[in-house]
Amino acid sequence: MNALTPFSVPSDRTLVRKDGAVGILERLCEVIEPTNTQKETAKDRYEAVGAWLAEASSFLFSNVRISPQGSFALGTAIKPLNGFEYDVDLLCRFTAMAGGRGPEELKRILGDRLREHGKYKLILDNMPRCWRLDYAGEFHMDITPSIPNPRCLNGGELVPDRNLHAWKATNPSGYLALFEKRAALAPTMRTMKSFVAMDSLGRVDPFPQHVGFKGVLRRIVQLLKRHRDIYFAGGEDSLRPISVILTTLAAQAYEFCVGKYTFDSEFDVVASVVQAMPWFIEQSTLYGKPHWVIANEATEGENFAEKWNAHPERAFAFYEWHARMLSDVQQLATLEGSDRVTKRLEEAFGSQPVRQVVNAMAEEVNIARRNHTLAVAPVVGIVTSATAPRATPVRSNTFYGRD
Amino acid sequence: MAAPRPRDLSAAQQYGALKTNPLCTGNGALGRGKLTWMWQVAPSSLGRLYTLHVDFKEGNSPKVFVDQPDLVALAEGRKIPHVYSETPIQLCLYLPASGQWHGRLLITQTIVPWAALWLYFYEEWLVSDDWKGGGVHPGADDENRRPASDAMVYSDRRERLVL
Repeated sequence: MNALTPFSVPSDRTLVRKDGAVGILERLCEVIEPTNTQKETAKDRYEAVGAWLAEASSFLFSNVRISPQGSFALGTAIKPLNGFEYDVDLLCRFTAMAGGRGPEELKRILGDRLREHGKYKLILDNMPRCWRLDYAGEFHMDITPSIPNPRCLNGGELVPDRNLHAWKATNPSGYLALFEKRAALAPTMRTMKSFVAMDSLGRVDPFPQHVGFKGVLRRIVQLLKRHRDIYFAGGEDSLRPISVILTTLAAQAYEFCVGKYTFDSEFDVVASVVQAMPWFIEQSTLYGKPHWVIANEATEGENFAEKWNAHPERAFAFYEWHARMLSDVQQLATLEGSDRVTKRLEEAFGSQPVRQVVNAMAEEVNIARRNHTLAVAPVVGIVTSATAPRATPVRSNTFYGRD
Repeated sequence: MAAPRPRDLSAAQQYGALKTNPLCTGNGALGRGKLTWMWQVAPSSLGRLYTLHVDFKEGNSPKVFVDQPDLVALAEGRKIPHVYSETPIQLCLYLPASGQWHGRLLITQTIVPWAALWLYFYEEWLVSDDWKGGGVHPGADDENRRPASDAMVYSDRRERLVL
């Protein structure tokens, strides 16, 4: 009776694991990004600032516009690590006429107007290139004055340089448009494989409760930024690659991978994009030294990696971090056991948000158990809805035995 | 005329169900009034693949064991909650004498999904050190019970009788 013959079992669980990894990463992103309330509060606040500026009597403020730039505009904002506030970057767009005043004076004029407001006066900080409204404990809004760039055909702007001596080309709206165009590209999926699993008898089931990414590229950028924040936490701050580098490389890699590959799962999209990121760094040798360029495609003459050339250790730090990010992502598909996956995710993205996700998932299981909707499906295991194909409902039970 | 009392399922009936249920695809042996069945299950898409077996004799409760991997080694010295024994690992999946299990129920509809649920909470416990699956411990006072759901709170104390 105990002489059991060996039997074959589903050997390739990789695809199922990848689907599970996508589900947990999506939930993680939902936890680390600003809440809708926070986004709405930020929007209300900057619109109010815009209205206040537009009401100024000075002709310089006629047709002035405030618009978000950076991660808030891109939809890639994440919560800062404990103790820091969100950073909402705003551009205050003056008309060409105002540009005659020069960067230093225009910045002063902007500051004077903000100071006329009873509340803003109290929370205003003077930063090198911009004004900061510090809503303590929530976020701070950095307001940079800009004027149209007459030489940019893409509708770019000019912003003050670091010393406020000259105007410097930039193009946040062009950058945003390009990012949005790329984010809208849909990866080609082998649908038969990506949304179904085969059990050991070769029968095919749709993945029950498939949780996909809400926008793969934006999620990739959020994961990269969070991983970077954890990796460089407590270290030398200047080594930390800036968000625009991660965003630019991810967007270029995404466009490349989506155009070139067909994927089995969204997980493979993430892994391929992360892997391809360094391919979009132009590296050459200048006067016997390495020289890096990560061009802002939206405007002429802006190199996001400019500082790497004076501080090569920053480039090396980027490559070291990137190797770690790639290996952390790849391992999610091969680690055995949700406990090991959880531990790896905690190391990579921080304990707190990962615990929050895992606890919420266990809570969902217990809620489904109470509501009698819990089921077990072939291949994928516990599902919180009994509608999964060929799933067996879990009858009420009470685990027994010693503590 | 009183309805005839439903009869317990035979080992052969249980065996037939085990052989055909996609949740417990595996292998076993049917003897006279008894069976053993071995199968593999992953409790979640990110879960490990575990090898389990159940021994069942007509008139008795099924006994469920986890054969692979070694749960004790994975627990790294911590005592595993809700097991009858650690060598071998025998799972405590239901409250004895509560009606959660009786001989007219199929193993495939009870023990098999409960084992998957147990393994789900086991993997969660490995990281959190907190058994979130609820349950009752023999002789525990009402205050110390941690039932997972309202439906699992029992007003009687029958479980103490089996100690």
